[in-house]
Amino acid sequence: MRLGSTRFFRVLIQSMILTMLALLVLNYSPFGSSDRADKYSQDLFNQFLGDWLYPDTHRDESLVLLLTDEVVETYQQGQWPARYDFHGRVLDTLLVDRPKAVFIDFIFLNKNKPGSAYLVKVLQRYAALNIPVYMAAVTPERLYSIWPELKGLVIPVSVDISFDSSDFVARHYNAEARNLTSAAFRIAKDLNIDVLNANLNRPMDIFWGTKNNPENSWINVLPGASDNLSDQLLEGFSNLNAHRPYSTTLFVKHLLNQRSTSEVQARVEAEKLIKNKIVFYGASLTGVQDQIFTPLRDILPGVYYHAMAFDNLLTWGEDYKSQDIMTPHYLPSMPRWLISFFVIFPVTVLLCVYHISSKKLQITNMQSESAKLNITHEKDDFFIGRDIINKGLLIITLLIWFLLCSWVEFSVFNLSVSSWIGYLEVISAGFIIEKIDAIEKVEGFFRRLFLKVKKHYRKVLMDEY
Amino acid sequence: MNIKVSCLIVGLSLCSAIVSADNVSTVNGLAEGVTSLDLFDATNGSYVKTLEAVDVNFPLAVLEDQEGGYVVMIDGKKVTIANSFVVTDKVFDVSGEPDCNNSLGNNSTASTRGITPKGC
Repeated sequence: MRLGSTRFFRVLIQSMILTMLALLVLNYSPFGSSDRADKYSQDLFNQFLGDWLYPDTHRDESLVLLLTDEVVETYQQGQWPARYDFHGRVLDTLLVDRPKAVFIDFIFLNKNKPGSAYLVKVLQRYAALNIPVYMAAVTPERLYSIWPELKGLVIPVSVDISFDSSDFVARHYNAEARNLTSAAFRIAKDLNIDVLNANLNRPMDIFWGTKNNPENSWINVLPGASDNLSDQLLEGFSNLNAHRPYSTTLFVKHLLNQRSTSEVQARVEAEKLIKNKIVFYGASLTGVQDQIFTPLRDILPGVYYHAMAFDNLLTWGEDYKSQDIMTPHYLPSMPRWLISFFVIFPVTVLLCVYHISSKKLQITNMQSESAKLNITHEKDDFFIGRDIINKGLLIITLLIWFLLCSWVEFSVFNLSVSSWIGYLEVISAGFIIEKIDAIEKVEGFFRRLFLKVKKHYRKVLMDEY
Repeated sequence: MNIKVSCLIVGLSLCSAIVSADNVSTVNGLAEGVTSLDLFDATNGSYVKTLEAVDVNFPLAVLEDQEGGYVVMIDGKKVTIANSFVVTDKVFDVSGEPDCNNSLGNNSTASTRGITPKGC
């Protein structure tokens, strides 16, 4: 009985020490290497499991309207920035098919405002039809100082982009910047999508849609990385990709110059693409560096960043994925380290039990060797085989556990999948620690320290007597 | 799937009309639901004025089919009207292989607009 409780406390102490070490490994790594690996693995996860995890159920609710070089050549004689009446013409053509809302991903800064009267006229038409227009702005004050006539016609939104300093990937999407709600969040809130109660300090980790969009099959893409799965699995993100964008796309040149088998047919098709959609109007122009590097390693015009974040909000509502935990309503709120603790502690207990058992096995083996009685090669093989099976079972159990935990973190706590590689590091660290008996040494150190202190204290007491 | 077929499936004119041989001669009236007509300068595309439907006398002869607009004569001036707002006798030619440039234009350049080949 006493032996059992001693072993229990030994396992408990060793597990606690190992858990603390694991938490340290998870949260602190030399030069942030663990953090980098986590993000890379998150992108791989997005790339390979995106089709299963991210449904395209809301893709048809938005549309990216893209201004390209050809349009600027044709309508503006190559002049950029374009005159404001040109944007007015684009928006007016769009209005024919009654979109649900429009987001203008251009920051209008030209104080001379060529052609602004017509743009304002078109925006008034939008206002008359109660179609909200969101406009990119640095700050509302700056926008209205140049454009006082836009007050009441547009809703200023933030268009800040959050690049990751380590790899320049636009993974995060801020909910607000400089007290201005970002485009995707503001549109989602105004449309009463389930983000009204969302904590706006929780930045989004955009999960990039990977499902093929047949509506974009006409877009030409440059050859990118190999589509071969084995190449991808071996190389990871070694090359740039060139996927067609996830969001349904319409070029401005096609909006302005609608062609089909007949005029009537062109109108029908235009209405199908635009009516009741949230339109994200942006540009992809040579020499205008409004481009993003996506988690899938595609280079895309910046407007897709907002469209994808908006699609995440449509798909998941306030359960969008983030580095910050979002505890479901039926659970008490808890910090992230506590969740990590719940994940790691059972693992460390398992590792410690395994460690002690394997030690016991070794001792038994050594005892039988020293006895030199029943020594046979069969006996050696038996111990080796049992050890291999134990280790194999242990690794499989741990992998299943971590996959399960990663899934729970993703789907229940709405964390972006970025910690599972960290957990693998914990396993590796656990085995290294096991190999060098580090935990026992640490435990032994503390035990000796405790005994020394106890002895010293006892001696002091004796001296006092 | 060839480009022409994909254009028809996807809808709208997803191929540029650079080499198209569409044929249009007359603007017959305003499209359904359109109550006014915006006029643009035929040469630089800038906004000129807006006419109410009753102030426009149809039919109008099409002087030029610009990409996305028709050049017509109104009040003795050449102006462009956007093609989405009017009904015409246009016959589309989708029989050839149009010259499509439907890339996203992500030709990364270490340059600012103004000194690139295309641009101002």
